[in-house]
Amino acid sequence: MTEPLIEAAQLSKTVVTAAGELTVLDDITLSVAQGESLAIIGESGSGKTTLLSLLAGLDQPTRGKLRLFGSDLATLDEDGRAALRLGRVGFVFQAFHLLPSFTALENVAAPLELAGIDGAMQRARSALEKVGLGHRLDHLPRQLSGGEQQRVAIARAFAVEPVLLFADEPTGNLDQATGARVSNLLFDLSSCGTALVLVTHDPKLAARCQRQMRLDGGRRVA
Amino acid sequence: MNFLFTLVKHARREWRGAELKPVLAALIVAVAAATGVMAFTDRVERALNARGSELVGGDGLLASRLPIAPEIVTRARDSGLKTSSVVAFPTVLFAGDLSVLVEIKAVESNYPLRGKLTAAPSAEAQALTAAPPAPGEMLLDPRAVAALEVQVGEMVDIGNARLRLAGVLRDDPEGAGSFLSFAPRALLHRDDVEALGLIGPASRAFYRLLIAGEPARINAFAEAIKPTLKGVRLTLAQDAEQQLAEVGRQARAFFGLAALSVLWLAALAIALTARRYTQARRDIVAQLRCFGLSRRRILLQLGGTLGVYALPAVALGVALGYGLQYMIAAGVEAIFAEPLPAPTLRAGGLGALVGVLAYFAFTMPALQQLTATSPARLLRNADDQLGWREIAAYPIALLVLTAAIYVLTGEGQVGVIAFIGISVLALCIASLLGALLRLVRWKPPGRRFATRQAWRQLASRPGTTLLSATSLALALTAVLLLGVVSSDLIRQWRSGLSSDTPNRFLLNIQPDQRAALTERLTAIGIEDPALYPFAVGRLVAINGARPVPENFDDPRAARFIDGTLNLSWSESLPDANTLTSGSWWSQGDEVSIAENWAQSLGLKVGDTLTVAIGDREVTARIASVRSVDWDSFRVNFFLLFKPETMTGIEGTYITSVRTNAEQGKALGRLLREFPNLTLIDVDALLSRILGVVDAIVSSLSAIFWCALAAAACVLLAAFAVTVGARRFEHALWRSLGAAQSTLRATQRLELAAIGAIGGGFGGVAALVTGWALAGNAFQIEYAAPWWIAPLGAGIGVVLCLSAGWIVLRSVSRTPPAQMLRA
Repeated sequence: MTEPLIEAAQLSKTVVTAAGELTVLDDITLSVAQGESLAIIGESGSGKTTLLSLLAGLDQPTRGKLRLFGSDLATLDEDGRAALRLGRVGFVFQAFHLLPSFTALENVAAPLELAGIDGAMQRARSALEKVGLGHRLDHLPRQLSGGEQQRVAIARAFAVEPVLLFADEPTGNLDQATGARVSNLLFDLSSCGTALVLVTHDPKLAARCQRQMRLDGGRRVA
Repeated sequence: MNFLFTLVKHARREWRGAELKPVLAALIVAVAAATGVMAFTDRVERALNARGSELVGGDGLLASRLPIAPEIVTRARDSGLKTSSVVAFPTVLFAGDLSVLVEIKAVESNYPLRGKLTAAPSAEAQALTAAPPAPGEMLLDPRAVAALEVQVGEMVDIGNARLRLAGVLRDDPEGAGSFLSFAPRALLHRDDVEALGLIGPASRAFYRLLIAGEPARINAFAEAIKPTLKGVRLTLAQDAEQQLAEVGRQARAFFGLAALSVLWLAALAIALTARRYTQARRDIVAQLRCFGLSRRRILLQLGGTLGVYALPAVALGVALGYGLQYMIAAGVEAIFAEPLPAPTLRAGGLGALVGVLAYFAFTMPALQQLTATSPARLLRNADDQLGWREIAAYPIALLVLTAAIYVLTGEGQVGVIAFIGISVLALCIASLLGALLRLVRWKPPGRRFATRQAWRQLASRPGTTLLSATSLALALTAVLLLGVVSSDLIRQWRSGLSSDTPNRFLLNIQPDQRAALTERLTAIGIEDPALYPFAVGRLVAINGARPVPENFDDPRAARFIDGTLNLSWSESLPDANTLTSGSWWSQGDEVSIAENWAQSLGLKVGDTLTVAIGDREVTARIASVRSVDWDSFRVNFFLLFKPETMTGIEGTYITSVRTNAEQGKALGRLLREFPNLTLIDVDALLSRILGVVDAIVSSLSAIFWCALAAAACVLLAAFAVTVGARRFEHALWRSLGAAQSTLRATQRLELAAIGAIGGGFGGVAALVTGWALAGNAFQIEYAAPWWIAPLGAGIGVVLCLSAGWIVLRSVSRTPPAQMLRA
């Protein structure tokens, strides 16, 4: 049996506030295998986004063990964790987070060039064609609709052919119809073997994942 | 009280943000430059105004290359005016083996008619009011005293005579050439002149008659005498005062225009930073408006905060400005014979006012727009494009700046034209850079990710890139042009002269001295010097009619018509002369004229000229027009006659020679044997002129370093505008797996590229200007210091990396998890 991509055991995250110590996440244990999809659901403030940032190595837990691609993240510094993500992890954010001064093509080519992949522009072009934006290559994000921007973000995430994709409320900023088109695209592309960790409070979207995990007040409740 | 408390609290909070500091830095630079220039030009104007009445040494003076006619002197006396005559000429003084070239002023016992003559018993002693030198004595400038190593009471040789040094000359009220004196002066009595044997037609003597009396009598005499004056210039003290005031105004305009570049860049930096400052506060203002705070109250609070910080910034700017004005003055003061008057607070205050005006004018548009922020902004994400209120406020800001320019330069129109000129230049540089950026975006160079990404970011932020690079280019063009190219040009021009260009002129050689002098010159290694006959005349008629200066467009024509002419005659066409029309001598009385002289007076081949030489009038047909290479420093004449035409005219002779240091000294000793000769040391004269140029260049450089400081403020402001975007990009790249070192390298490369492009452009622009000057003004083959371009690029890189370190170093601390929280 292959090693899980993510292995988290008893993860906790506390932050210090003016009112004292606040536990944001408490005792979370989970694992994600290759090609698997996991939805993290819960109300606002339940700790979903904090958990996603810990799993992606963007932040560090206060307690607990976390392995990403078999590496213990506690033993790695920020650069080490970044190197682990390079070329293997994709992100889709709620607010799209495209580089505003880069064209759609440049935005998609950016992670390919960063990973040192040859023919970055060609691959970026074909990724954009896959999401139906072959005619919008030279447009700046501000010239695109919200749905188009999220499709560029999806093209950027899949262009590197990631092993693992993190999506944080990918349809949160979109209307229902556009959101449905974007989620179809997301699941179509990840069906080729990419593991998906999806944070959402949309039950319909969560239901499309193989597994669901519900958080409440920082604790896993289901 | 409550408002003040809130204001101070708000101001303290604002200081912690990064937006305010670049605005204040720009304000400090603007105030420092304006204060420095205003305080300095005020000192120059006061120095010149104080000398207005001294310049003449009387209430008026008549000046001529020929002795003032006795009838004029008699007429002045008959008009109830006091008169005092002066004759000035250059010569060499000797004491033992030492010699020095001086400007002699021979004066009468009643000299001066106005003002005070002061002298001291030694170079170090305090000067007291002194009487003019008695016959047999002289007063000598401290520079000449030092050169001759003589003490008061000792004897000094001059021409055929030996005079006693009676004192060290300090103030001489008749200051023709005193504040811009090129050679040290010696005062002696008029009665001694004849015994010296130094005055002849070619001795470059200038005769002046000082007049003094009641203003009404002076004016009446001036009115009566003016139409009868031929070759004599009349200057009244009031005219001289006006002329000096004009020089003062020109100095103010000149340095003010230089300071304009600083103001231009500072205004840009202020507008840029103020806009960023207000943009960062739009959401807060929307909230405050939502909570019910009035627009006026918000404006007072934000404007008040800017005002609170403006006070110490202006104080610091004024202090720096006073320091700067000493730097500017240090160069120019060397030109003046004595120190400039002390700087005044008033002038500095005016400078500060200019800076403050620019500050408020260019922060107001953004503030205006900010206070107009709608509370509805909280409900929908409005963009931060320029609003109509802001756009409408900029013309007002420009108007205020125009007023500031007027205060600074005293020249409304010229100032505005210069301002527009700088803007157009900036636009040209920006257009060229813009084209370069489009090219880079299309195909970013380099293989490494950091390199390609740096170029791409550079091109994707054209606003920042163009503003930063253009500001740098503008400032560095000025700094490098003055700091390196100008001195290099002058050095090359001068070294180009040194190969065989004559550096000494010998004048007033008598016909019977020619053989002996040639023999002596040959003995000291100067072979075959060409001696040219020389006479002084006056233009009487062109084609038989008396010329009237008012009929000519060229202002130089008046000088040619009213002044004296140096004439010569020659069988052959001299070196450094080329015929441009006509032919060399044929039949009848003929003359060949210099091209620029012909152009000024509208003359051509075939016209006739009548020239009065002494009591003779010579009429000759223009046989040819010559182009003369005046830069050759050879003996050249506007008018060259056919020898037969000048038969019977008694002239003296003139020659130019090239000497090395030893021969120069030997030539000085030779004058003991031929005391009537006049020696002109071109090297010394050139050094003095170039010294003046150097002084002005160094003063301007001080101002242009301020322009560089203002450009640095623009860099800070332009980079600061990008902080938010860079933080976001940094977090995004980190989440995508980019190493910290890669992102740091990308940012450094991007900043370095802006510096290299802007600085390199500045260097190239300075070089191109240098080439243009070399070709047109200096007419030399210019070996351009190509290293200026990399030097400019280097300075640009250092400045950009430093500004980046100040403003952008926090960017790399942005955590990647921020992406999920934005």
